Amino acid sequence: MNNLNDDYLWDKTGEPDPEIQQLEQVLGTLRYQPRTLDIPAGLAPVQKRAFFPRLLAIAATIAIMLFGLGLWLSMHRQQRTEVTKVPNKTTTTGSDVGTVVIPDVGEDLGPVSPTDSGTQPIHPVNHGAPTHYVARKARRHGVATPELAASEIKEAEAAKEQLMIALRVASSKLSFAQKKAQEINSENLTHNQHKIG
Amino acid sequence: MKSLFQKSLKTIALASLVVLSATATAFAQNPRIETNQLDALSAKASQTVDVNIDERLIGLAAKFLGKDDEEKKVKEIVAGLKGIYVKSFEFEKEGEYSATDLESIRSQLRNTAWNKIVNINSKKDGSVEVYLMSNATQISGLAVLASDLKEITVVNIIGNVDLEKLSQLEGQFGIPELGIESKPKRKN
Repeated sequence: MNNLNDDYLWDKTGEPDPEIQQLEQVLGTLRYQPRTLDIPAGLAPVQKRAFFPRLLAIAATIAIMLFGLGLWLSMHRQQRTEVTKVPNKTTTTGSDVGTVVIPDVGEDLGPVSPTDSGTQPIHPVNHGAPTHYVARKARRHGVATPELAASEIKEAEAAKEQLMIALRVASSKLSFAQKKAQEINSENLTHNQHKIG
Repeated sequence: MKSLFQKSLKTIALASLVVLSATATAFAQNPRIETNQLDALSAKASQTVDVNIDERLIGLAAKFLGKDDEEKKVKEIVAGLKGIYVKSFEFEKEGEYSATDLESIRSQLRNTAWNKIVNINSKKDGSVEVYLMSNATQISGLAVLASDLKEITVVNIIGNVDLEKLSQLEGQFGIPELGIESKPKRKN
């Protein structure tokens, strides 16, 4: 191996090296040996897929979509029914509220306070009104509420009514304070004028 | 080592004091009045008004305001508000509520953040106290405590209450005249 003839390694023309020949014999058993492919008799070639399963898949997808649509519609209808069946409550704001006894917002009542408000109980707008009615009313009010759900519309109307009640009470108390302050001022002024006179 | 420990202790104590005072200040400057203690009165009351509208509900209600000019004005007024809370109890008989009930509200309004702007005491018509909480630029809260022999009312409005705009509401939607007049312009 020391005096290697490169020609043998290159194109097997030179003097062969015994070690290389031995290696060739050992490794030669592993060399590629072309042979024909033996297909087992039991293995049949795969047939082209039938058209039917593809149709079945499409049909199943449509069926699932229809089922989902039906489920959504029934839930939507149920929700609308629940909105319609909402029982009358005195208020719909954040906390539990007792009997609110202030007349309806739409009425022109003049000075209003809880004291002189009469005895008719307050009803939030559209108790038990169907959703489409509420939505129609919202549209009639010129309010763009396409993004509001039916429950939100009801909540908003109730909140609006509550807001007006709160403003009424607040303004009546402020008005009373203002009038009293003016009375006291005028009395003092008259008193001072008498003193000077 | 002892000196280091003492220094650390002092620092911790000082930091705690700062945190406590900051918390106390923040609490004191909260325009929300606690009125839940009055809820027990509803059992005795012949009429009760309890309105709790937070910022979300105001926003929601505001979507339904704007039908006409008046509602637009209301919308403008409530736009700066973060909450409107009203509690009012009317009784059949006198003496159904105690001075403690009033004091529980008044004590909250006694801190420096609130300024009593009106105090009416009338034997015939009862008393009304109006408080404002404001910072350098704007009002952050309004509180009204009204009482007579058969009635107690607490109004608490959170946010920038525009009194001038509020005065424009007078007589609309059955809202009575507030009598709040804008200041006359001074002539030079």
